[in-house]
Amino acid sequence: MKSSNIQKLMQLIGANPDIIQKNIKCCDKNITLIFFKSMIDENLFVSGILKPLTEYSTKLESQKSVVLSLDNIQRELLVTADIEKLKDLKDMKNAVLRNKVLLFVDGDKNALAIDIESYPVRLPSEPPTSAVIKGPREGFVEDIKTNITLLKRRFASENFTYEEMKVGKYSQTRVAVVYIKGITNKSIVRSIKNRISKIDIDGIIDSYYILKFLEEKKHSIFRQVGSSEKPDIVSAKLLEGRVAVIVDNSPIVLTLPYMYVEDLQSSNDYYSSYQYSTFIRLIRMLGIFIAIIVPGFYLSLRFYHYNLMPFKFLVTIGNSTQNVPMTPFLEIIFILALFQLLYEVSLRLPRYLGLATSIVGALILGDTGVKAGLISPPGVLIIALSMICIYTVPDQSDQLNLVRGVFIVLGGGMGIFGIIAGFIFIIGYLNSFYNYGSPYLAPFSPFVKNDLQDAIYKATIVDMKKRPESLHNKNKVRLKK
Amino acid sequence: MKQEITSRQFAIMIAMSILTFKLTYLPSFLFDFAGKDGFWAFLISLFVDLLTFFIIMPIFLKHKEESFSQFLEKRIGKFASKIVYLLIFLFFLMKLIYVSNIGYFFAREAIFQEAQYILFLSILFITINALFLFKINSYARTSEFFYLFLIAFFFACIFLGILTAPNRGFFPLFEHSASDIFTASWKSIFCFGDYLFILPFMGKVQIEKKFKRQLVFYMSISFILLITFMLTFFIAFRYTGFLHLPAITDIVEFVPLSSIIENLDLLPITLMLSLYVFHGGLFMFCMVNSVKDIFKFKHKRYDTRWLLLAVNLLVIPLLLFVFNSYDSLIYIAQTYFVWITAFCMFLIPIFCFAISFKRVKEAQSKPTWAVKVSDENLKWISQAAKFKEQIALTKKYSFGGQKA
Amino acid sequence: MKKFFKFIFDRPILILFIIILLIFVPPMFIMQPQSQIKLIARTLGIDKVGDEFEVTIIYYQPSISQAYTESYNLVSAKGSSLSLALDLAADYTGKQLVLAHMNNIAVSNDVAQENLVEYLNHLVRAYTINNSINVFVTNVNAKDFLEDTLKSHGKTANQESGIVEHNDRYIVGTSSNVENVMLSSYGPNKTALIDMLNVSENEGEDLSGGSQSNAASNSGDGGSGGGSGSGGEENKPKYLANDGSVAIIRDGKKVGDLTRQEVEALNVINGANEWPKIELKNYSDENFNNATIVFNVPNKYVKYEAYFDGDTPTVLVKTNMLLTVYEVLQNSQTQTIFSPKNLYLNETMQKAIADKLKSDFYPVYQKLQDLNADAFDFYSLFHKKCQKEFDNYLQSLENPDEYIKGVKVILQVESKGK
Repeated sequence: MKSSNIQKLMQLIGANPDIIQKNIKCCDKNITLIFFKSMIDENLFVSGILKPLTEYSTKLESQKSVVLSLDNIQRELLVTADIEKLKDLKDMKNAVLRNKVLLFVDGDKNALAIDIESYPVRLPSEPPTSAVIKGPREGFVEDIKTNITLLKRRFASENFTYEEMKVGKYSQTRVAVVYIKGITNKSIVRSIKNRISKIDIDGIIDSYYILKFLEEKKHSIFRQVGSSEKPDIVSAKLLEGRVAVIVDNSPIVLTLPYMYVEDLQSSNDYYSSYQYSTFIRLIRMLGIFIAIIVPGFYLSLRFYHYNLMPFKFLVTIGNSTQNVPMTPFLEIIFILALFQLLYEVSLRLPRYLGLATSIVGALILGDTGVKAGLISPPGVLIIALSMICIYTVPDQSDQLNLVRGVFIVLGGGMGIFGIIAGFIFIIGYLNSFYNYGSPYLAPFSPFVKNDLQDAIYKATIVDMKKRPESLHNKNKVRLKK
Repeated sequence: MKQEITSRQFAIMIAMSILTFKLTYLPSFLFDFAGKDGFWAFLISLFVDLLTFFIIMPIFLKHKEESFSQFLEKRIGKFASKIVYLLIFLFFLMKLIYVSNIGYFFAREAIFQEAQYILFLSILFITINALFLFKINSYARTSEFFYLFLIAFFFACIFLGILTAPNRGFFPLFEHSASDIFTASWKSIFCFGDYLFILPFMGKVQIEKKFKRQLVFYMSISFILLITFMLTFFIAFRYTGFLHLPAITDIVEFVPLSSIIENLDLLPITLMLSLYVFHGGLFMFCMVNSVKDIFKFKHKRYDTRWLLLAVNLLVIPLLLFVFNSYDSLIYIAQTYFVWITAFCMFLIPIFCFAISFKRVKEAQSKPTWAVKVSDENLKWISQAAKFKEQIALTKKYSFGGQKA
Repeated sequence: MKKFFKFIFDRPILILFIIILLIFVPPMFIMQPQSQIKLIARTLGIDKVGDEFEVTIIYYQPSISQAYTESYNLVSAKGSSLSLALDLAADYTGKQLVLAHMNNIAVSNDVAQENLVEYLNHLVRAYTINNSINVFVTNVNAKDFLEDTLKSHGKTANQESGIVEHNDRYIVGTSSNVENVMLSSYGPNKTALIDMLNVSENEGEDLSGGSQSNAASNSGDGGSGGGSGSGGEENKPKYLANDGSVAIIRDGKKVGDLTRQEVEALNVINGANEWPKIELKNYSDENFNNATIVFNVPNKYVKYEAYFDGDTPTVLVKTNMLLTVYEVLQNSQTQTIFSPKNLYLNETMQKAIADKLKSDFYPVYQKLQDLNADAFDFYSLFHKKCQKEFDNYLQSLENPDEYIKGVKVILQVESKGK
């Protein structure tokens, strides 16, 4: 029976050079071990399975009364924590594919699935996009177990809950929905789990795949799901009442519900003085505004509203652009394209060539182009300022790039009224997001007084007595007097 | 997402609606009739407008659970309520036409000397329609978001005006006759009457305990700023008010030019263009909701978006071919529309106030639970019902057949 | 087809943006900036040549330069009306005229003596200029004035606005701008004081030298070719003399002017300006002998009281001044003169100052009355304080417009300080 099971199992798994079927003789019975050679911890396999089995078989041969069975082996022999008895052939197949070692004993159609999975995993290190001056520097990695551990370490409470799901027909990627019972609104958890369970896809490579299914408006350029690579940030968000979604093979953990103001916050803010943090958040807001509005506004002034420009600015811009052969719009697009190309090149070049590229880029854009009269200094300044300001909030750089393009078209085509109308349009659009019941632009609209403590103004930890009200969590009190 | 506005958002919408029409052409318009005493004409109109607010607000608060259509239909029937909707529709149609036209004229004067009418209209209507399509919740939140900035800009304009505009003194008072003042007030009535939008918003606002306090707070800010603005204008331009249109940009033109900033028109321009968009969106809501209540379609493919399209197809040709000149529009405003505004502004609220006292029989709502009754029980129930009827009849005719 | 519509309805904002892109982006590829197609005027000069108007515009000309250099050009044209002349001037440059950055309007004496308000009205309505733009009257043709100042100032051809603003603050005390000119026609007192900037051959700021100026000038009229104008006079030195004189505009027209001394004489009742100096000549007391003493006026407070003395409207002006002695010129100057106790204003000095100010003031006020110019808006003062009596007074006059001729001014001057 067992041999037919094994044969069926091997047929289900298919031909694979990595799969090993090892037989051990023990008391006139065969113990068969099936596993993927490259996916297990060999040392643990030898010391935790092979050696005990061999010793056990020797012991059993001397004690004829004890019968070799799966239960005996599980109870007395194997010391690994994760052992499961499987009855179904499909489960056995899934277990092998999940890199577990299957143990069969002659005469028993069931099998033991032993988890001694081992594969190369990166050590937690500081994520490149979330560098901090003070505070924890560890970041999530591509292993879901490590990521859960990094979070679990921070919560010694039975309320820290995570529920695992498998998504992906071929990848069977593990997805964990993490939340804190007693704080998080259950309807949000239910909604997220519902959406994830409905995903019917061939494979999940990264958390971004899951992200798209969790978004309300699939074709919107604006972020609707938060993400972070740092366990301290995710822990803080869990304590606020959010839900974290950890996806295996991805270092980026998703958090929901997402509100726009989260991107103005940085982990540095919580480890520095609140006055400085408030100031820096104002700078970030100003940075966003400059990044998206200034190029379009510059074009609108040059095309339609020169009368709004102070005369001295008009003289400076008029003189420096007199020689430029391109129209202002073409000039802006040209400079923008150059900057974007430089950015793309710098992302993909090896590090040792990066310095050379920077010098070439600076020379071409900053010096030669202007001297040759192809582009003007104001144009370069405007676009350079915009590009720098976009990275005050790196998580939003993609969408800000696109929004900037929109405002360039609106400002150049419709003037300042186009910019104003476009701004109102975008804010109206953002306000129309459902976002799991939390307003997207809270605490600004709707105005939530309590949540202003961590919006632009950063209150001290001592003053943050309540959790954000925008998240509709049950347990509102964070800090007692 | 529930389509409900919070009380703070609604208070802000009311406060913002006070501002739009009054900051550009109204001051010089009043000046034409009553000179410096146009300020008193403004105060009279403001006070009278506030009276209509005090008529509308109790209706709104008393029937906060009902929508306006339910309120009307229960009291005056479907046909009569459709007439009221039609009047409201016409009123807001004219208002939207004024917003568009005056907005264009302002934009042309202030920033776009070669602005094309159709360009302005297309930008305005795209934004207004988008605000409608994003639903009322989103519109209210957007107004709330921009409110602080707009008030700050308005405050900055007034502050600069007070500091730099020539101070020609406010006294003596009443250099013009009372009839001039009242004529100015009457002729300028098309700039008022915006509180009427509160009625179509019945049932859509979450009235909280602090609603009244919030309303008083936000409206006070608007009133104080508006009155200060008017006062500054009439003090600074007490003899040359007719030359200064639009008023909000002219009030800041005396900032010394030698400074690096030079031209501060950007503040009033941003303020006014934003207010025109918000106000236009509000009127569009009221118009489309009125049409929706007039024609209650029950087709499965019916969508409010078709109504929006129909309203746009009505308004835009009117703007392009009929009401395309500021002078003709002002003429119509002073001659015909003044009557329509007065009628709608006063009579509709008074009418609604009057009918709000009418007692309405609440329809018996059917129980949501379902109970399967056996035949035997059914027989018993019908016997019991008959018995009950007999008792009632006995009670009624207890004294020898006479009514009790 | 259904899939296509579903695709569109799923992404309405994207489709809208694509439509906007298709409509607005192609023209932007060829649209020129406004600074290259608009004539950005900084100063406008208005002259009358016979029956025709001649306008002169100093406009900003963009130059190819990385440094900040303002370079200007001048264009003038004649036309039968102001609007035609302006259009022609713009046509000569091949650009559209816009006056949004204009901050000076120079008018010649002849134009000022006609209906100045009408011309400014046209500019306000047609070009929506700011009413805060400075207006000044020139003693020569506005065109010559602007040509001469352009040659010398060149780089900052806006010096006039600085001068006018200086005058407004320190000399005249009223703003010399379009708004005030309008008030001379629409206000109740129908009077305004406007700066006069003169070109002199004797003293003032030298206009013959020039820094980095770009003084090409284009001019022309309907028929004849143009020229730069002043040929033989170029060799004589010219000076911009801001001598503080003002033109009196009454009912939109210039009716007279006041010299600087006359303006300073009126400062005793003008609370609006920061009056710099008072000069007391030939003063003698126990400390001084025939000395000329110059006082600085750090603080001045003027109070008006209007009442009727019988049937005569009277304005009682009380002026309190804080003075400090700045300079003493005396033949035999000793140290004792400048000892602190001697520099206090004693009663003799106070009386001498008051007498001096009154003797300076009354003749100038008489001149204003003769010109029927209510420069200090006594009309509004009487209207505010004693409206009924003033109305009766106006009704009693044959010509109510000449009310100022009957208004009596009484000065009370008090000075303190050292």
